[in-house]
Amino acid sequence: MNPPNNYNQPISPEDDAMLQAIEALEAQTVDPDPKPLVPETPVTPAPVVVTPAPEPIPTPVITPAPVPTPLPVIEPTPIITEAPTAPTTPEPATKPTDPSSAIAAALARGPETTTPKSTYQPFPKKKLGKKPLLIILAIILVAGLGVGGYFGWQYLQSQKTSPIVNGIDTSVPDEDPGLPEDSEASVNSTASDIENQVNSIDETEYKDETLSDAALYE
Amino acid sequence: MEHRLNARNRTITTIVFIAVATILVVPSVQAQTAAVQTEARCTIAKTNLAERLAVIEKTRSAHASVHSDIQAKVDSLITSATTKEYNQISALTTAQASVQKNIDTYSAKVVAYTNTLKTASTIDCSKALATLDPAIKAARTSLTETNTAAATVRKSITEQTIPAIKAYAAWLATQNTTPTTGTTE
Repeated sequence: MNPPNNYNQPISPEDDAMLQAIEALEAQTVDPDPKPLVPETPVTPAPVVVTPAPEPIPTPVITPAPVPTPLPVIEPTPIITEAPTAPTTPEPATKPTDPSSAIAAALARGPETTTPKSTYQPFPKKKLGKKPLLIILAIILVAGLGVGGYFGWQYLQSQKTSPIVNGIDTSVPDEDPGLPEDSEASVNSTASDIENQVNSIDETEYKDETLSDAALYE
Repeated sequence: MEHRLNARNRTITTIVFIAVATILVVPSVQAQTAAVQTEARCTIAKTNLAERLAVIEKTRSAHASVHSDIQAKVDSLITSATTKEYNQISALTTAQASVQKNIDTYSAKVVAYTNTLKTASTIDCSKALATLDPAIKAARTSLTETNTAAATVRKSITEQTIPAIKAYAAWLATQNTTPTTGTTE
């Protein structure tokens, strides 16, 4: 039997039969000569609780709702009615004449109808929308931008720190060379610095001895 | 008599044979020995040339850094002298241009020298042994030219740039004592 709060699911045949029986019972209540709802002698087959609710199918298949088998119209007067869709079920020996018997009969026939599988879905599938896809694309985009930015920055830094062109260092010293050139002393200081730099240039590696036979073949 | 002649002929034939064999065989053996020695020397020379190449690359880089620094200082002085309307500023600019020209020449010579060292250090001693000596000769010529170019750079800085800077300093001294300024030609 379906859970009571699952109103969106189609009604199973058992429930349908139960509801129709209840409706018939309600209709009888307006009868000027109502019969007792519960007979003096309890009718054993009434609830037919024996019919267990079908187990939920593990792999629910959405099938069109079956056309419920029309149930016998329960007349207030004891009119024998035939069950239209119960060819395989043998007719009961004695037709029920009271509502409770009718309910019992209707419920008893419930499972006999060609009831299809229950459409109850314990875990209904939800279709995935485009939202997750967009989120993944956004993450990939942000990651790509981050990685690209990092390597771009590295490239720019390497361009700044490699000013050697044609084997010659063309970089300009970052610091301001020398003292301010406003005074005689500072200019003389610059001249002394340049003189010292020139004298510090080591040209011994350009001497002819560096390629002498002794140097090459020793 | 005939027997004696035969013995003499045999002796002569033997001597001739030995002489011919000596002429033909010994030089080839000597040549083979010389070839092995040259190949060994070639291998040693190549190793030394490769080491020399690495040293020259370092030297060139160090010299380029110093030259660049000196030129930057002269640039700064020229800017200052221009601001102060130094009347002998052409001495500074001429010296700077001359030094720059010599630095460029020196740089080209160093590049040529390193190329000759690369050529000599990559010779295949087993196949192109004969190319080693010309390569070393070319490297020596290039080395001499490089040494001359480096000396020229030094000379131009010492004899042109530094005197020009000192002249500018002297002019600044006169400007400080006579603040009314005046371009004395």
